[in-house]
Amino acid sequence: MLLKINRLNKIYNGKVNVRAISNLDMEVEKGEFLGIMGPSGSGKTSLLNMIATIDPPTSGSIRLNGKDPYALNFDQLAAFRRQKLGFIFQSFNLLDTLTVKENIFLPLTLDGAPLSEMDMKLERIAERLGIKHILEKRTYEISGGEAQRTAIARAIIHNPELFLADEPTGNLDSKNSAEVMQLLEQLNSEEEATILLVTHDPQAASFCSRVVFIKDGSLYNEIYRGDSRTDFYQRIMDTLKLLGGGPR
Amino acid sequence: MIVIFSAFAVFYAVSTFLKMRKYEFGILFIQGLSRKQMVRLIFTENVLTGFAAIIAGIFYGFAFSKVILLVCSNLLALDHSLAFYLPWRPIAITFLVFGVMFVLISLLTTLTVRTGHVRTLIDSKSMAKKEPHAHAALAIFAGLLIASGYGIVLNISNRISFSFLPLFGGVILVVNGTYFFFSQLLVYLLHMLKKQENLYFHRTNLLSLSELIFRMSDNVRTLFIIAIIFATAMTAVGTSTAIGSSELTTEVSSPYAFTYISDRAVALSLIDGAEQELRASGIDRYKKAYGRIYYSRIIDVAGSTGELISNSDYNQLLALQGKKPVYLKKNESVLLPYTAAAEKHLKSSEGLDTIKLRVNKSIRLMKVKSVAALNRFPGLVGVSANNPNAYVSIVPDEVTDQLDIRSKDKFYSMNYVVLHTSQWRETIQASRKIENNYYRFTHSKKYTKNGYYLNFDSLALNWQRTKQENGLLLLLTVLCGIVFYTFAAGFLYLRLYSDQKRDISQYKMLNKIGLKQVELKKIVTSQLAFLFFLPLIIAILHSGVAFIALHNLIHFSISGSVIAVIGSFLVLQTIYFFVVRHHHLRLLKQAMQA
Repeated sequence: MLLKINRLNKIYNGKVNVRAISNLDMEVEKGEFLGIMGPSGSGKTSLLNMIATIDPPTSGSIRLNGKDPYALNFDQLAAFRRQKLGFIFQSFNLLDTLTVKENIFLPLTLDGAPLSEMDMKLERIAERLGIKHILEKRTYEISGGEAQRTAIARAIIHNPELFLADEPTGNLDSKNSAEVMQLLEQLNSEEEATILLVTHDPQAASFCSRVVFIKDGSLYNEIYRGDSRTDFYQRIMDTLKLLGGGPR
Repeated sequence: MIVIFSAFAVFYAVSTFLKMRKYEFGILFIQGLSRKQMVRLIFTENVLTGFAAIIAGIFYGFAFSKVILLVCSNLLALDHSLAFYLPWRPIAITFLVFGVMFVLISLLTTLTVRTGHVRTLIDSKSMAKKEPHAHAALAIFAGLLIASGYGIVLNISNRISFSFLPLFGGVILVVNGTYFFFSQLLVYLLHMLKKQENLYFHRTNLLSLSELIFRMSDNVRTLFIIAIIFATAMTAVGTSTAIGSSELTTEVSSPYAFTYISDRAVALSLIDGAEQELRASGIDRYKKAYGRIYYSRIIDVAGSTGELISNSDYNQLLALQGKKPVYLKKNESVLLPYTAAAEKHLKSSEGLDTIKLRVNKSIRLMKVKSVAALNRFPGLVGVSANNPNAYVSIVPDEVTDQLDIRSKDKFYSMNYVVLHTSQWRETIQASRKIENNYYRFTHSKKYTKNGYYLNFDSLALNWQRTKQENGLLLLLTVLCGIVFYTFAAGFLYLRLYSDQKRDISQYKMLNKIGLKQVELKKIVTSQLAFLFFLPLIIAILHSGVAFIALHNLIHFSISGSVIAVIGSFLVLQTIYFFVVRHHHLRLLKQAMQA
């Protein structure tokens, strides 16, 4: 078991206390491609942030490989994130001060990896993601699809144990969305990468091997893919209808 | 001057703040704000903040004036402390001048606000800027400009004939060179550094260096302005403290408590009166010396003249200060430099081995036995007073005995009477009375009718006057320095403030990828240090050259005050650096943890 979540709660204290996650249990096997869906405000992103170790839970436990990441201090957590986790975001989160190559090198550079090792890894990844021709370009010179592929390259260059993708297709057109999702699917099937995908998009979610649905901070339902993706897509749509939020 | 500077600073600040609010204006335009309404909004905002600032400024100025008055009384060696009063006129003037300034700036900013399309206003948040570029040729040009500027300034100051025009040209070269230094040479160097991949891709260097280069297009202006302000302030404050330093002022005064010089015999009534006043003020231990100074007897290489006094007269003067007498052999002379520059010159290899004396109708060669330590002598009259290498030559009594003193030329020789006490600092009250007696004497018929020359000097009064003048000068320069520094600090703050939003989102992003706090600290420290200390270092270089030039011009040692001025700027800037770093780090850490 790679990830085990037990009776997780998250309450945001403000003028009105908001319970974002309530008594949630979840398990993710190594090599699984899990989609997390739910209407706006259902707590998907809160859940992802807690797993991403950037937002501590109010109560309950998160175990990655049997260990509690929140037992670590701030700096240890930072090192943990850039060694064990890989992030992909809706807004790409690339630094506009850096070139594509520099962005990809960032986590390894911070960890003090030697240049030759980084170059070797980049060679392999860039080829595969089809971004070899834009490596020296700046982030404002490339398209959204290229930016997301760059972000994926940055997320996988250090071979993380767990990928976290937050609406990775949210800013992309359908063609680029499909390409990015195929890349993730490949990553999952060929490298046995464990991927956690938060999305609104049933099309994107249909690439997953399993999709869990969250409503008001609790687990609502979960469905497995089986053999056919189109069939899976239909079942996802049906569940969303039942859920009430529907695709946006 | 201060108003012009403030106007510039306020204008800069207002436009920076407005730029940051583009997004807000975009939203307001969508809500149907008209351009006219926006102009009115900006104008009202600026005028209101302006008047709030003036009132706060006057309040603080008023509160601090008491402290400054206290400092003044101490610094200026005043007998009575300065009275605290409500300065209505300055308050009114300040209010008026700054009020007009704020209204004008508000008008100006509303005119300069360019809005463009609503879309671009809304998008202004996310627009990425291009990386600045540098050309090798321009980078070299920057170095050449500064070097030639330095060269001109140093060269001018070494020449005897001095004119302001080339100096001004040199300054302009350096100012332009400084701009190109930041916009070209520095960017070029940073790019070179970036090309060292092993260095660039090493831990936090990637973030620090890329961020530095990226921000250069914004930072160039700030770095340039701050460097120039610092250089100006340091040079100005350094120069005036150097001028005000004791060495320069004590040079010009006589080292004895009271000195009378006259082309006749000094009236006995004056000396008796002076002695009475001294005793009346409780000073019994004083010594008296008198003698004669001979002018225009030395034939120097450059044709300038020097003064002579006899060995025994000189020994009397030495005795006043409790020093050992000097005994000269025949045809020997001791040179007594007037100024530090003269002392340096005479003691150097270029100094004199022999001097030529005109004794009546014959010429005598005197061997220079030694050059005495600087010991100012009360005889600076006529040509030699303006000669930086002036000296007095001490010659054996037999030489002066032969000199013809019956000449009609009144400046051919002079008599002096000197009173000295080691307690001269306590003679201020007595000195005033003695000086009054001197004035009364020189205005009497007996004096004016005969029209002879009589001069009086009181060391205590000279000391007090220079101390007051220097104190005033020091006070003004320190205030000026503080004002200048505040401007520079303000520009730095604005620069940081306008990047704040971007910084916060940037570090939020980096936090997700995983950035340690030690790494954050390292990056922020290197970036702030660059912004805070690079212009200061450039300014220190610039003012250093200016000080070397000044030193060449005035021939006095100014290193002490220069080090003090540069040191205090460094200390101030370091304190400011740590304060800003502390706040900036706290802000970013909060952003990362949120």
